[in-house]
Amino acid sequence: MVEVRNLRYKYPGSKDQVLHGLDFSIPQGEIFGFLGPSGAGKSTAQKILIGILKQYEGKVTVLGREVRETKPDYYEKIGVAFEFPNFYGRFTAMENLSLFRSLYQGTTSKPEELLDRVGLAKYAHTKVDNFSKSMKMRLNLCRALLNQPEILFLDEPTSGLDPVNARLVKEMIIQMKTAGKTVLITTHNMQAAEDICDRIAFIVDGRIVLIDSPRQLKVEHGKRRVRVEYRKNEQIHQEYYELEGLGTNQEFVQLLGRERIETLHTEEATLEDIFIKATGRKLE
Amino acid sequence: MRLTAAIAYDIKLQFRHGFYYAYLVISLFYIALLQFLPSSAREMANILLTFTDPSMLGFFFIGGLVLLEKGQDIHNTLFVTPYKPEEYIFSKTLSLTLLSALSSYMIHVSQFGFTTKPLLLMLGVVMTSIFFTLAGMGVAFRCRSLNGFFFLSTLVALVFVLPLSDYLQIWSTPLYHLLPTQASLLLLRSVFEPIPPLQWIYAILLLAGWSGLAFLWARYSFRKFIMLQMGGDGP
Ligand SMILES: Nc1ncnc2c1ncn2[C@@H]1O[C@H](COP(=O)(O)OP(=O)(O)OP(=O)(O)O)[C@@H](O)[C@H]1O
Ligand SMILES: [Mg+2]
Repeated sequence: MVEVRNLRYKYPGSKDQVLHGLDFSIPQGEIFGFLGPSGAGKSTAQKILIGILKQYEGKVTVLGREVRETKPDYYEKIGVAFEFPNFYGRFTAMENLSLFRSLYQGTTSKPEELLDRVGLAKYAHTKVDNFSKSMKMRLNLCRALLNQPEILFLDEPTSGLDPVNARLVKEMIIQMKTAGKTVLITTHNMQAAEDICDRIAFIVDGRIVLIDSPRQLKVEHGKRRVRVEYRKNEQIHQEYYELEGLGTNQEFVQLLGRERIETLHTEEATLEDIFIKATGRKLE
Repeated sequence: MRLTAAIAYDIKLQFRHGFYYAYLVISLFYIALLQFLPSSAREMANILLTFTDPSMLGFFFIGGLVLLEKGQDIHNTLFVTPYKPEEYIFSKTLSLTLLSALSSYMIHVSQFGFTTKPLLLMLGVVMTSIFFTLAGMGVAFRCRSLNGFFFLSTLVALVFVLPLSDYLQIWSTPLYHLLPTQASLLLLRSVFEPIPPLQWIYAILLLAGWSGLAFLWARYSFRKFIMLQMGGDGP
């Protein structure tokens, strides 16, 4: 679906190289996440993939076409939502979606159905000026889905959403995947990335420093041990045991039989820990 | 078709933002103004007002429209669809031209009824509007704020209203014949003072040439100042 080889980029008129040779590919049906601190180049990479910035070096193919050579009809096949949802404020949600729908030639979805999926059916005839950020974010997702895209590019899809709506959006993204669509998201939000991404790439200073599934990253970078907390003489005690051969570890087995256990956890690293370890940086 | 849909939505948008009311009020004001003038001055005043309508109004209204869209960052969402920049530019231009043509025609008819043959006049209005709207759009793409737009566009507009000094018999130079304004005035005046074919052909070609240049410039400004800033870090 997406093939990127040695992608380098510099904004016109700027001296600084923003991307220093990215390499990755995204197979069909995958949810792929870009994670990285502010200024890392995530949005720049996304703008290249969606054909806005064309003066890049390297190879970038999406749906089998070199993005540099695509024409506006490229947008018939892809869906894009930027972090800031922008609409005509004096038009209603429905008018906005109908306007955007009229710009496509291929098959499009019915705006009513999309609005219903994101819980905005009631507000179809409300002016977007009167929408909250969360409503605009969901409307933005509807807009990106209008043309039933094969591949969806979302910049910070859950930012500004309350937990209920963030979950709704995450579920919609997972539904897209189930329908065989490919999704690329860009985010600061580790939890969102961990919840929905099949693979994530950590980007720092225009370079990919790690790329793998969240699960694999956690297994590889976490400490392979369990932490046991138990109460003895009114005091909390902690013990650590290697996961390797845990079932036959006499000390561990006896402890379980002997003491009153309060908690028992494997010591997985969080994505945040892994990120800090890999990059020496915090995400925010 | 995409372009017709775009024009329809642009008209709707201009309506929602009160452009039609604003034009109506301005036209009624012009009509009232003309009523107070002695009939000897009415023709000249009518030409001048008919000139400002598509030119200056088109110029400033397109600025308002583009900056309004910039303020809403709407380009971020418009141009991740198959909508082509050229279609956007045509749709904005033609929708505003329609408005100019309606109001100019209304003003003209209010003064002279249906007795004149306004074909060349309306052609002049339409072509003038197309040129000034394209020029104003190019300026607006480059500006961040309404103030910046008014400053820059006043400078640009000044150059193009200079030939009025010839019409008002204040000062003249042959160089005026190269400016589109001269051609506009020629076409507008033809309704009262018929002109030979060679003259109106010259006027139409000159306006078409300037409109072509203005289109290329607007498109270049669009690529440089709108496309490259898209998906930026927002407002
Ligand atoms: N239009 C532009 N012109 C010049 N430089 C730019 C432009 N947009 C971004 N940059 C620079 O490119 C670098 C990468 O920016 P980018 O927006 O891709 O980062 P990001 O990873 O998306 O950050 P964030 O998490 O804040 O969204 C930054 O140093 C930024 O200053
Ligand atoms: Mg960004």
